[in-house]
Amino acid sequence: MSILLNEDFTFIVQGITGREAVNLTRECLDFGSSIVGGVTPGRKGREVHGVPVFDTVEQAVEHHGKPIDGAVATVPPAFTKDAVFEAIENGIKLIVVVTERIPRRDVAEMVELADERGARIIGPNCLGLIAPGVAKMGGIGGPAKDAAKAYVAGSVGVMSRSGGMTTEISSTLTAAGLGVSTAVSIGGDAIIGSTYADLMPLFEEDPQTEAIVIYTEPGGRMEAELVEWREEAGSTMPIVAFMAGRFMDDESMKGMTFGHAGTIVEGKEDSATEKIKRLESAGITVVERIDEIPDAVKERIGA
Amino acid sequence: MTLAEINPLAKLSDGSFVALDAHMEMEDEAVGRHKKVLTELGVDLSEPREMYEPSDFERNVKAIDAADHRGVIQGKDHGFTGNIGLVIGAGGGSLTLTDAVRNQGGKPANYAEIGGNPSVSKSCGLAKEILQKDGVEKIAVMMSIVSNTRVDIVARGVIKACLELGKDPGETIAIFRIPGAWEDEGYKILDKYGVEYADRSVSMWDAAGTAVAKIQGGGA
Amino acid sequence: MNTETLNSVFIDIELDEPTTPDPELAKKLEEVCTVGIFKATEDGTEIVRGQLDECVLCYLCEQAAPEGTLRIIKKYEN
Repeated sequence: MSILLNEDFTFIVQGITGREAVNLTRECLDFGSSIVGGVTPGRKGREVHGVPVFDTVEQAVEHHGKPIDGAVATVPPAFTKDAVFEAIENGIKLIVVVTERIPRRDVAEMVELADERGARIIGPNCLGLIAPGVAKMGGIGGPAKDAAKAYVAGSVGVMSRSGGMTTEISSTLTAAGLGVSTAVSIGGDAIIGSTYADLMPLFEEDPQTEAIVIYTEPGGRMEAELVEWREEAGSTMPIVAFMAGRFMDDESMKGMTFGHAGTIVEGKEDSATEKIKRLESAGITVVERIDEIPDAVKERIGA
Repeated sequence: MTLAEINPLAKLSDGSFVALDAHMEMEDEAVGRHKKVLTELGVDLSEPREMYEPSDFERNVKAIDAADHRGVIQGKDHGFTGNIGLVIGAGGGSLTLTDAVRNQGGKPANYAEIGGNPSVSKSCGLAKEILQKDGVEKIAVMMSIVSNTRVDIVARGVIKACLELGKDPGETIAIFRIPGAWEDEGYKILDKYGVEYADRSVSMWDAAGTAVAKIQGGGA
Repeated sequence: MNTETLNSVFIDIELDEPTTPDPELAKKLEEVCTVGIFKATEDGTEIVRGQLDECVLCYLCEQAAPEGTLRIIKKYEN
């Protein structure tokens, strides 16, 4: 099993005729994903790697003849909110927002509408998610043959604020023989649709997942929320965390942004040092090096 | 707009209120749609507001990035005073590698981010800028596993930077650790120029350690 | 400061003489290349030396030219 995706999962690509979207469509199809349509206004009737293109999401759903499960939104920042609203209003329940540099207010509105309608947003500013041997949704892991090298089915769930590091960490888990159940690139922005705490209940319910690895950075409250969730839910699922950007705690780096838009230390609480303390206090193992992750996971699950 | 703070607020004798001072913050992503109000407030839109004055290095890297649309490069040296030139990427990879260098006693000369499959001339330009910083003799070229950015294209860029500066790539590039897309093609190029490289079986930590040892280790 | 720029360090392209002046081919080559290596001029195909190292090895130019008349040379091989 996996979270969010399964063998029958269908999705569309919004903005499918863009350069990046064409690549992503090829990669997902090669990996075994079922893409049932693409949307680019004014391009109805075209095909991208055999996937029919429509002007609207409604047309795509009508053509498919039954509800579509997901959408990958790869449209320019100024149009992303409308695209996501359109997907939600046409009954789509899982939307991966790849686009970066979306104004924060738009993101807040997207996330709120998704909450109201029982839909889920992954991202923005993310590479999507992958369930090895099942499907991938988004550019995560790159071309199918590269993705298959780094991602082999296994027992560890991965959540990461960095798209690239999702693959680096998963590759390490795969090389160590642990493998990955589902890996989610959750996005690097200040506001995202699905945080660690939002996804944890799904991993808890997944029989394949025995442990979680998170990649985290300074900035924001997401790690504090994970700790709060863990305590409230009484969850004991082993979690190993890797914290990047410790150098940002230096006095000379105050107020500077590195890496992702959401990676900025604004107060003491969101510094790397404070976050590490908080995570450790909740029984989460924090490692200093990526290559220490597999052993830390094995120790926690007793493998 | 992410923050609007009015302080102090004064009450006039007729009962109306006047803001005596205000502080507003807006994320860069939203500036485009608020041009009118920003112009009215006298904000110069051509001058991006930073927390500090950008250095020549930062300005030059920004200009190279703006010169063509393929990929993105970033460079910062505010607060960095060491001699290890870092040609690194992408967002999370750069944070991880900067920590890995520092935690093994290394002193980076800069921070950098390569992403989105930049052109040869862009990675070449970034590497040249770093190599021309005071005290920098060698660079470490490292990223987390890439799936979009191409290994061979970055290899061409950094080797070209050395050649254009009259330096031997095999001597100047302490370590090249970028596994992923087009790696076999990249390794052919690196072999030809005698550059030490590592594949995905070498961790980011160990690659950073090699860079520290070769650049700061007293010629070891 | 050394600001020398080098061209064709890694990649070169050989285009056989008889096809070079063909204006149709020149247009086609300019169109297929995503990194601007070919320029269609009055005299036919001009190879923009400064762009050669940007070649992404897509081989669309080799396919567009009459068979065997255009070759991409990877100078780092041998």
